[in-house]
Amino acid sequence: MSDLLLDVDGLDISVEDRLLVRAVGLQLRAGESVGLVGESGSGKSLTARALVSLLPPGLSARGSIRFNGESIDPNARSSGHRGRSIALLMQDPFTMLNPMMTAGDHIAETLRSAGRTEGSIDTEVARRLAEVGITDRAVAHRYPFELSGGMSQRVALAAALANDPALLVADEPSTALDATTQHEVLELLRSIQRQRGMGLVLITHDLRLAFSVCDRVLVMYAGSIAETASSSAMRDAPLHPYTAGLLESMPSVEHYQSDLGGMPGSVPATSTVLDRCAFADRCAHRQDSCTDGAPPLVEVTAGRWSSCIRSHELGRTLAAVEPDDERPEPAAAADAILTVTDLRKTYRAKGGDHVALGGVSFSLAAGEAVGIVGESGSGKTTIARCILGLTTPSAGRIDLGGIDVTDRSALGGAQRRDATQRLQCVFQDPYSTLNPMHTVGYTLREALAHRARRVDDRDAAVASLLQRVGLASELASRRPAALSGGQRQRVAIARALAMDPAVLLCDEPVAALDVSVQAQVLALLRTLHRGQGTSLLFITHDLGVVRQVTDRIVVLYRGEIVEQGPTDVVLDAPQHEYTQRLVASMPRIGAGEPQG
Amino acid sequence: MSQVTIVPTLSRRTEWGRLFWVCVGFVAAVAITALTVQWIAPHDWSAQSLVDSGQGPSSSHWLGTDALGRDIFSRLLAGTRTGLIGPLVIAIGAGVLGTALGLWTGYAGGRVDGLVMRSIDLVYAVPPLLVAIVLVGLFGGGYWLAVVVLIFLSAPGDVRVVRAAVMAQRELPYVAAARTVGVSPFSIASKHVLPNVTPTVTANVLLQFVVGLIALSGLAFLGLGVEPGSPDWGLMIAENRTVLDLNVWAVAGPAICITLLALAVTVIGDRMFEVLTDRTAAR
Repeated sequence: MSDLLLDVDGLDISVEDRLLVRAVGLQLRAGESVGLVGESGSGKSLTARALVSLLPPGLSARGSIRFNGESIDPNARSSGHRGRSIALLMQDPFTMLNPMMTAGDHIAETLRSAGRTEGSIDTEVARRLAEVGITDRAVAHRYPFELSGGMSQRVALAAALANDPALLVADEPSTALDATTQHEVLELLRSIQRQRGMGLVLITHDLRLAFSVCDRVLVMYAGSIAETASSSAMRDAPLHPYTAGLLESMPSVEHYQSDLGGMPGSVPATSTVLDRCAFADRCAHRQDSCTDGAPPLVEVTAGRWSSCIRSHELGRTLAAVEPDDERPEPAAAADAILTVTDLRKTYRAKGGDHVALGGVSFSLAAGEAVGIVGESGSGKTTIARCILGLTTPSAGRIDLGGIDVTDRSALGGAQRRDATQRLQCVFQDPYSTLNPMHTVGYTLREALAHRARRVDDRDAAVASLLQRVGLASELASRRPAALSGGQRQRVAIARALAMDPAVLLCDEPVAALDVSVQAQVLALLRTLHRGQGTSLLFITHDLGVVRQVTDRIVVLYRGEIVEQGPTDVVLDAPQHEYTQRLVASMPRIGAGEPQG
Repeated sequence: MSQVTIVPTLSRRTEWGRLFWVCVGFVAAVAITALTVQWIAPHDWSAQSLVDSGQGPSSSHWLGTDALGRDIFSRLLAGTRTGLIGPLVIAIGAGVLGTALGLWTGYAGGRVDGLVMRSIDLVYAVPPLLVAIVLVGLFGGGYWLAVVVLIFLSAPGDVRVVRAAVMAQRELPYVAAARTVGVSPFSIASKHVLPNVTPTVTANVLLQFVVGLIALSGLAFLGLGVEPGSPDWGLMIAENRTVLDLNVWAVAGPAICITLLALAVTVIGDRMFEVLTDRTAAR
């Protein structure tokens, strides 16, 4: 097999005697692109780091990695092939570039180490920037903080490519970017990979994204490979229940799903599932034989490998069905419970005022779910902070069920308490939304203590809150560090529910969660909305998520509303040019066939 | 979702380490000595014997005697009392004052913050030891006066450090979440923010102990602070300079004691900060 560019066989990565990645094999031909897909804890990033000998200290790898027929030592501390023929592109464009070096310096540095003569460097830098779509020559002299996220990621890509590597390893290169920019960067990555005939290993948590960019996809789960197949084959008929579960869990941008999917539980640690199928505990198709030893990765049909022992029999049942479910009729029109009128917020900044919100008006009826959609800088979080009273708007009016909450500090104590009872919030980052020093029980009891209607038995109330969000009451004695991301976000929802709010404001509540867990939390929010009549104000950048949870959406662009209307209408037939661009940039399962 | 998954961490849990325990043992020994010195000291530390003055180490006087014939070893043991109590009071006093002010200004921000911080800048602008010398000299000296003056001169340092830690915490969503639930600013500062800045506060209190020890010893050396004749390490260095050629231990002994105690407490503070930070880390 000498035509293989990269041949990884039996790669194990462990810390001390704990195994994190087990028996990973990966073959890549020159010019081929492969996606490494998995949730957090799957070992995808560690595998990628082993390829470039950049494992974090304390971790060691065993197994064989051959690049162009030459053996690579994943534990080597010297750079070896890294940089010369294998390049690495990392996730966060803002921390990846050295803030003290200009964009041009980053590229020139790599060019110099490749032995270019000093005289040719300037023109070469310009040529390289043009390759990644930056034609403005002045960009070479700018510092990273003067560039946007997408621009920074382009510069980083140009720097990674400056040595003309045979293989590019890209670790979530677009995750930190906005949807529209993400789309452009991925398009660019794909076209450059094809033009250059370069090998590409793309690490991502997003299966749709991997399908749209890569020829072949490897799905990893708890440190080992669950399934590998060509993108089109896997998309049409996944062989492993986990892959099928991932596909089902992804909220669709195109249509409403009455069942959001979502697998129970979360990813186990690799070292705890060495002697069994790692996915068995979350699998709907589990048999007794699933836990008798670790299932090997076997070739089910030509070019398709799966580590599910039931792949042959399950094949048909797992095929992704795309149900076009009818959305239940939204509740009959009710009075507005939250009305925002001509909301403006201006921040004083160096060199003039920065307008975060330029006159935003919308309303939320009792029992309704409204989505506020926008990218970073659109002002959606500023709206949330104004409504919550965390910041005071510069102008405009916010009316919460008859109380003017525009300026909370102007409210009397009783009114302020009233506002608190009516409106609660679920924040974005499940890792910092709970105080790490307090137990779950403390956090919930504290919220209950501020409820207007007195709670006599707080411990019982805590248990019932936990039960409402699908958590065991034993969790009350745990601290956040002992909980998974999904569990923490459920606790955050329980804290908000402690007040029995009429309106639940959700600021990107699932953005930091893994796909399977995200589906669980979305299903929970939907139940609260439908079953208990809580109004939702749902702030997000993810069109798939708004499609599933909201009745009506408001599209925000640079602090102004550009479009609003019923969710299905706006997403199916966007009117404003920006909304159209946003809808078009979403990776989707049906479209995005890799162009050959 | 009933089972709890343990999130695998790559870094090993930070351990206390052997050096930490050696230092804790040393400080504990100093503390025990301070409490029991009247029973364990081989000689009366203030008994003078001019016949025996300025002797080197011998079997009856292990570290020799000073110019007045007092037993150096016994005086070193007795010196643990002023060596511990003063710095401890300074560290705790400045810690309580500084943490309270730091929490308040850091959490409240705005005008309160500006006012307090500018006053602190003012205190910072004058060299603390100089102020202490002037004030203690002006009011006629005394150990406890020196301690009180040093509390007020050390507190601004605590305010700054704690304020910075609080400001970093203030922006985290858990604070916004507590505000949204309706928790009062005082409760947020004391029940939510304070526990999260404990590593900083702890390390800072121990550091202030060291600064206090050195400042008090320095004042004693200059003749300000402790009463003349009392067994204090700083004062002993000053008094025994005259017999340096006769008994080097009369000066080296107290100097080593100050250094070792300062070092031990510094190591403890360092380790505590690392370990506590590690253990309070959210993930």
